[in-house]
Amino acid sequence: MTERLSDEQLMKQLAEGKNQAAAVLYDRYHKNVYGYFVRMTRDGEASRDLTQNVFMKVIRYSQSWKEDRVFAHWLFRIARNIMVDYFRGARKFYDLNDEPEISVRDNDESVRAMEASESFDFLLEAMSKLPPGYRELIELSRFQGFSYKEIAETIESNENAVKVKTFRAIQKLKEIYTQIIME
Amino acid sequence: MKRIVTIIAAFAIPVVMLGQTKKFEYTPKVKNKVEITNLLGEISLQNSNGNTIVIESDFNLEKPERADGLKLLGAAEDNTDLGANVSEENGIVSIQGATRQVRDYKYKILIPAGMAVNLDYNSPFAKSDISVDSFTGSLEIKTLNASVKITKSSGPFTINTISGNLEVVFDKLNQIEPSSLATINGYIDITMPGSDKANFEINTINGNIYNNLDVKASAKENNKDKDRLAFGMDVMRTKGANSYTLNGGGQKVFLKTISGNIYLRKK
Amino acid sequence: MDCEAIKINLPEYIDRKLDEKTREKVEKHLKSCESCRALHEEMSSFLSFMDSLPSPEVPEGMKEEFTERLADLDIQEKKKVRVIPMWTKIAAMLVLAFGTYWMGYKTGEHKSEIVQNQLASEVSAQKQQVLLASLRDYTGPQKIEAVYNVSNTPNVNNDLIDALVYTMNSDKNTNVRLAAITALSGMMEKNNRIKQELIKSLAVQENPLLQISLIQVLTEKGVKEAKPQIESITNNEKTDESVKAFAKDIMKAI
Repeated sequence: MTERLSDEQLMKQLAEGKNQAAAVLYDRYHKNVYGYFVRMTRDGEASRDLTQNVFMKVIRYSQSWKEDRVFAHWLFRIARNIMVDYFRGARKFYDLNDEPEISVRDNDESVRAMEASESFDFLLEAMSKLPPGYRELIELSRFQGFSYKEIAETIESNENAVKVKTFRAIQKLKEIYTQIIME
Repeated sequence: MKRIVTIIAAFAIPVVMLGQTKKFEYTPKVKNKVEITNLLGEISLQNSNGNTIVIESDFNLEKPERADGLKLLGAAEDNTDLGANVSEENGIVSIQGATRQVRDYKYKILIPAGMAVNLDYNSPFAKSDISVDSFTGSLEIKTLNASVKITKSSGPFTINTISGNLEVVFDKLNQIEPSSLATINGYIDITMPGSDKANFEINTINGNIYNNLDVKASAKENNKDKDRLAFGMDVMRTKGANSYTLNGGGQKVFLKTISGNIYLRKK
Repeated sequence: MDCEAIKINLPEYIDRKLDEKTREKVEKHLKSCESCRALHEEMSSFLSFMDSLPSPEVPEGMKEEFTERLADLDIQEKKKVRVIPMWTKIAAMLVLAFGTYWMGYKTGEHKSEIVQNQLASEVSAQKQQVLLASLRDYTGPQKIEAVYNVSNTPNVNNDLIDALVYTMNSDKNTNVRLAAITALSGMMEKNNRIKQELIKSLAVQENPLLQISLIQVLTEKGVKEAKPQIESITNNEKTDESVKAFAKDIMKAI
């Protein structure tokens, strides 16, 4: 039990009914998946549920696991689908009165910290203003560390298209971010 | 509640919709089962040509201007504009009434041939009766007071109701799976081609069985037992279970009433 | 390489992920092109700013919550295999065997023996799951057929009775429950346990049709022990009028 099994080997076990394999995969990936949702939805509570749902789906669909697949890609494909459903549903309950929390701090260090976290907030805001396709490319290439080739496999596109689009996505993000901090 | 059973040819009138009819179409990903719940308006079921479920209705709810761009949300979200919600999961298509107001409207639902339907009409608020015509596929219906009339179909059916009447005109009897019809206060009226094969299991307590099909009573163990309750009572009444075969026997048809009569007709 | 072609390689260049050949081309171009050089600097700092974005903290309890759900799943799956009575395997076999059993039954061949043997042999866990999953989707008529076939098997063992009782008390379809009641009442003579189960079922049923049918069956067979149960139904406020009326009538005869 001490040898480290690959993601794909774990999926094979899961497909055979060994539910505990899911716990190991959860360990390895839940932080990534959670981060993905938080950056995409900006909703911590929802992201928690969405993350759990992703892994429950991994278990539920484990029967259809094919050996030539890469787990990380499949995982994010599931996450994408769940996110699309979330956005479809969330539109119904979007409350115009939702204001982001503004915390007030006293001393220098926390002001600096606040300023730093403020710029991260602006970055997240800029992310949320990106068209979803661009946002996803940023998410997968910068935050999930996927290579262009891996992204192409996950979103069913080709490597060159991903390369060009990702570059444009970064440019666009920078543009929007700059606009926000200028205001 | 005592019901006076009178035979009224009320169902001869097909569902006629006054006012504008709107349509909603849905192609199921898996052609397996359809479950209809909470849709308490006047329902008529038929088969559709092809693989799409079609719902036609004269549903028309005045939406206040404020509601522009918003969808009606009741027990479920109205995603058809007909007061109903259609969704699909795990091979089951669900058609749910989204709001109480559906009761006042008519719904004609066309289902692709071969899909099984489960219709839950079991509500005291259901005002109308159910009609089914030219339907191929398995049908399960539950009502409280509503009557069910089925024409030109073969089953298999399971129908149960408390006070409704059940009328079925078989074009031929499905031989693969049995049918079961049960009512407490209503009557059961079955019409079948004289040449069909069937095994009738009939059970009525206070009702009478009227028949012009060529059925033969089958000797069953039960009938050998002395019916202690029949002692001293009107011997013309057949209490308990009675089995009859038609043309040597075929698929089973279970008929049960408590106080109503049972009519078996030759087509 | 022209500027456009160089630009799209910048992110990978900054990450040092480019292949040697392309990397050299980019480097060479940057030395001589001021606008691309400026873009490279901007992008470099922006990307490292982005990379410094901290991962959101995973909220407390997430892992534990998942582990619990996982454990529940295990229990559910194991339960399914244990609790579902054996007859449902028969029903599944019957229906899944594409009618072979029925055919055999109708033509009088002793195919029923084959089915018994199939059941005697171990069904692997996965196969069971498939059977169980597909059973949930059976229609009312199919289940009635299964009940009917089960009640006609020559050897009525406890598993079969369990199965019919389970159906009588839990099936979603009233007509199916009715079929189970009929089947069980037909077997009442052979088995005292069935009598008890029918009486117990009276307390469980809420549908007037089923209540009346149970009362009918029990009184027709002269089951005096059912009297108290029938009385309590009659006295219960919630009971439908038609049931009360029927019960009162029939009680006179016991």
